[in-house]
Amino acid sequence: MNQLQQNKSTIIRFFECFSNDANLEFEENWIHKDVQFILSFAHVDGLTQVRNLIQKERSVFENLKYTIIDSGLVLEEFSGAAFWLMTGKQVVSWNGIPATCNEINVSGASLFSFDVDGKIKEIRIQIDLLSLMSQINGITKLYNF
Amino acid sequence: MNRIEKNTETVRQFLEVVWSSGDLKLAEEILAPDLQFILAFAHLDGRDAFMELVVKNRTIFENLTYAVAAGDIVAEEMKAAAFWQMSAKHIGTWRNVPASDKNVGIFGMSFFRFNEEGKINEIRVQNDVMSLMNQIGGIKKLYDF
Repeated sequence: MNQLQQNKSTIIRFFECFSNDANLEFEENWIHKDVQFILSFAHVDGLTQVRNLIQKERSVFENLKYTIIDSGLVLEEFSGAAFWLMTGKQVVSWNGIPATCNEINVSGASLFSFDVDGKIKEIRIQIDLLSLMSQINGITKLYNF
Repeated sequence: MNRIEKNTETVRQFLEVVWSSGDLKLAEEILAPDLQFILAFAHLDGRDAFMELVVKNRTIFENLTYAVAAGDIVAEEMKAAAFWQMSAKHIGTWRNVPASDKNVGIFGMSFFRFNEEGKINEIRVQNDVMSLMNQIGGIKKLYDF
């Protein structure tokens, strides 16, 4: 397996961790212990905290699933990008917003950086938070857009 | 310059020259006539429609600037992705939200497909519209998040 194939496999493996039935005991041989996970509304520092975040998301969104869109992976030796859809059902309070039991469907994208050993060292995420917040009634639009 | 290096440069020019300078001549050189420009809230069909958007947005957002860091473009032979930062001053009505005269800034990611000639024929944008709407007063948060 060359480096690009390994990066592809690692990115797919990462998204599979969000599924409820996935084993979260992922080893430090494919994700760096000091990994930085950067969202627009949160910055998670280190593997332990990333694992905690995934566990929390899995409890908030029932049947949570990330699906990489058709050919939505772009790969280089030390970086990769993925465009994806997130689906689930919000069954627990999230960011102060009470459970709606609404099914959610949100698009997003992630930029992965890899170290020389092929481990993920940084993930930056762009998610359609406006759509998500609209779907779980977290915001009011003040204009017709 | 090989195909991947050329695609990387094309993406950089698209963000930093076409958007930031409004260089429509360059847009004609690097964009295919049948370009599909896909946002979460709009789908523009054709290069001409996209160029109209560039002109329009540059009147609504003063000093509209897109910046991309050197390592934040990932490219293959037929596709690419970029993580970018946009900054501007909101001086005109955008999506029915009146001018706020606020300096705004958001991050986003774009996914690019290229045709056989090396021109961009599809762009999918994932940007932080939630943050932008919050900065210009287009939404009200219903919870403390």
